[in-house]
Amino acid sequence: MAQKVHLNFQINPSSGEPIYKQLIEQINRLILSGFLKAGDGLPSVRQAASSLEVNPMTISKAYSLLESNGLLERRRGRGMVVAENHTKPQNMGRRLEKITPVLAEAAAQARQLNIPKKELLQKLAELLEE
Amino acid sequence: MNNIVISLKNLSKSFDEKQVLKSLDFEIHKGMIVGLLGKNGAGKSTLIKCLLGLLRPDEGRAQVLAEDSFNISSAVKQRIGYVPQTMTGFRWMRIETMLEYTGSFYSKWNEKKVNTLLKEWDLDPWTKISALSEGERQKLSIIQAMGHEPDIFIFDEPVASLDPAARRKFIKQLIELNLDENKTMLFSTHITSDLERAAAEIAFLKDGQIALQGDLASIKEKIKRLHIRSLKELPEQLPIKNVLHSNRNHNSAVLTVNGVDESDIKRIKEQYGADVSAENLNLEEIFLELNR
Amino acid sequence: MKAVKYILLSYFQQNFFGTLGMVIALVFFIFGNIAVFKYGRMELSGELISWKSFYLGLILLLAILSIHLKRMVKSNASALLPDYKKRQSMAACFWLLLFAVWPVIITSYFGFPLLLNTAVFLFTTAVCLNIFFKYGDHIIPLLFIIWILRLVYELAGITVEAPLFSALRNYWPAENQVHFSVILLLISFLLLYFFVRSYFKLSILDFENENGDNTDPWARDFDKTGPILARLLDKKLQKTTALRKGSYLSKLIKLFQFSLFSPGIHVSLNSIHFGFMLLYMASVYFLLSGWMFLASRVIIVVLTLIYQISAAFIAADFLHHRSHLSMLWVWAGLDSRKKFSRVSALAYYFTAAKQYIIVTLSFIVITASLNLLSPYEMLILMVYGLSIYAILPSLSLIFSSSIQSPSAKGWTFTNIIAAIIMMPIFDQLIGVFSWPVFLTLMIIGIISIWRAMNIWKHSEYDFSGPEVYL
Repeated sequence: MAQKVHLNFQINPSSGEPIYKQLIEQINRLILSGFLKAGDGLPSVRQAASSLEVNPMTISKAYSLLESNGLLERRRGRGMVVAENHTKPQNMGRRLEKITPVLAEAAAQARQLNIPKKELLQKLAELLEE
Repeated sequence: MNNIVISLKNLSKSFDEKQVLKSLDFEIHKGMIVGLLGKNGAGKSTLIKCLLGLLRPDEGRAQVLAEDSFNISSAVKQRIGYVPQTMTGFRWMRIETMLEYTGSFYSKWNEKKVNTLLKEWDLDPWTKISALSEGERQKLSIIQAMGHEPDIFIFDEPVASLDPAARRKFIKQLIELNLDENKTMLFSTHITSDLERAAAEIAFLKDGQIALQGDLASIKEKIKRLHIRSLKELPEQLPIKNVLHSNRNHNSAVLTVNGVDESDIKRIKEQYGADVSAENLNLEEIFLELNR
Repeated sequence: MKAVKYILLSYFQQNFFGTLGMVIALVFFIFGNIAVFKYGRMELSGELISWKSFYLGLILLLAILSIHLKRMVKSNASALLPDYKKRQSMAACFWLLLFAVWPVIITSYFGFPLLLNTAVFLFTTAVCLNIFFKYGDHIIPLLFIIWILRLVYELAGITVEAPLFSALRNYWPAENQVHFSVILLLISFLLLYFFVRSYFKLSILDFENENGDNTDPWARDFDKTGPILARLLDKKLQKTTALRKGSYLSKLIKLFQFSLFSPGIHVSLNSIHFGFMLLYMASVYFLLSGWMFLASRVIIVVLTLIYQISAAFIAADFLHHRSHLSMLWVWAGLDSRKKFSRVSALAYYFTAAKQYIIVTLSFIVITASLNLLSPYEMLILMVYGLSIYAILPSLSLIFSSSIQSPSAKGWTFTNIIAAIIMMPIFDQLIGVFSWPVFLTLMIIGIISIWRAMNIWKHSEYDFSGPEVYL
């Protein structure tokens, strides 16, 4: 039986990104990385709103969207839990999809700065070693 | 079921020659926390006062719970908690007497809650009102408005004199209230960070009207700043929709848009070989953009 | 009920010095009046039947009450307190019952002379006016004292003969009284017209502070009542213009004019009182025959007037009239709102003076015109009352803890003048001259001069912050 995990969401209300999006992002990552497993409970809207000191509607919205995506599901008596069929850590394809935007940006900048492919890949390898 | 708590329709109000509110429309639904943003002098207090019947509008209609604001019934008054911008109180009274006095007007007064709040906000009930600092007086105003457990809260710059710690406590209070009891709140302020936490909806007051009202998250998603860097010279008028502001300088341009149209972006990229990046704006920046 | 209790309590609190002064003054006057025995007897009985005056008084009172109700606390928040008006009215009624109705009934029953009844009636009115308009507070101590004193006299079977009274009575044939009353009635109607006119001139702007905030929810009620008469308004009078040029004298004159005719309920009511008083005085002396007699009496009364006006000037409490104060500053062409020059002080006092000419006078006149009181009785009341009033500022100064209080400045002069002028006048008019009182006043005067000298040196006062006007 999965325990309710103590989650440490980091929300910046004053960022340009809406709070609910930040939350979705973080929950996604937690699930993808395997930190949150199927059946793990998420804090209730009330708990999350209260501890993060944000409007509860933002929490609800995040949860609802995740629910409609199939990542979370509502269980009677337990609230929101991670859905079963997302137990496995995401396959490579999905994970690569996640990182594509960042890579695309790097590629764009490299083009602007006129950095050749070889040098860029070398730098990336170095960074991965760290 | 009518869940419109506050309704302002075609509201106009002038002071002498100056027109502060112009045919303003505004609505608040039950259970919402709405932040009212506007420059100093934009008319936030005027709006609130018209809403509460403290000022009579020149034109239009203001209603609270479907009652005309100027003639709010006693029953509805029981359900309203108002924190005015400046608190005027009986200076000779002590905090506890002031609260007792206020409480005596209401059919229900939660003394326990009031005492808890006093403790939390570090106010000694035995202090005289004349001895309170500005911030303390503001805290007292807030407590006064909460004691009778109203459904509707109207705050007119309630935290202007509070330090960040006290403000946080206040925001937390609001959130708890909204959570537990689904209270409706209108919160006028120019401290955007507070609204970003607490409010679900934002209304921008500009030039006597609600220039923009909507869900905070949607506003943040829609209003973006586009940075365009191109190899060619950019034209005066870029073919982008919903531009709020634009600043062009030969090969680069910075535009604020209300709703990013991907097809427009694509066209710009292709036509001018430009690099377009979208910057997220927080509420403060959005406020500044709208008030330019 | 608690709300009512607090409203009443706040009333007392607001008038703490008034109440305290009243108690102390009462002691002084009782003490001082023992000396009356040495001088003879004093008779102030009127002719009318007690019950008539009582009923008339009540009717008048109700008529006034029905004109408008004023919110006691200048706070926006109070407008949202459920049933606030109702409770305020209840407080007023309680006050009435507590202090006015039963004495009137008792005195009427026992057939006490008219003066007593009138005093009580005026007292009642003043209190209610205070609760409803906040102007009668100053009248309460005086009336209360008069009432108690008269009661004491009556019970003790004392009658006091005042030299001037007998003189006045000799010079006041019955037929003149009728003319006088008619004239007064006409005058009072005229003044009432001005009053009503200026009352309805009120706009919400009169109650706004510099930020444009409406500081008086009472003005809201006005919105409902003034549409018709508002059209009769002379808009020009509503506008104030800055006076940058001109000598101090011209500025003062302008300010005086402004204060007489300006809109704003406080000031216009005061104008009317002032007007009443002036016209009354003029009428009385116009009607009195005999040049020498007239001259000497005019001098006495005018002196009293000057004294009172100066006392009133200085007895003003600035903070109650912030909005008007700033308007005055504009008129006087003063640049800095925070700087407080003596001229502006004086100018302000012109306006404030009228507040302190108090409701008594207008009601004295009204009662006169309705033939409830004879003119000389009214005169006595006026002087008596005004003199008692002088004590209050002195006490206020002594007890005033705030060195910043501008009112402290003014209380100074009151006392010197009071001590000097008051006693001889009392002697002349009422036959009351008592050393204890005189000495006390001198002492109070000296203390207050000393205190005020320190305060006078300060030229800047802090006028920030809203003031609750109860």
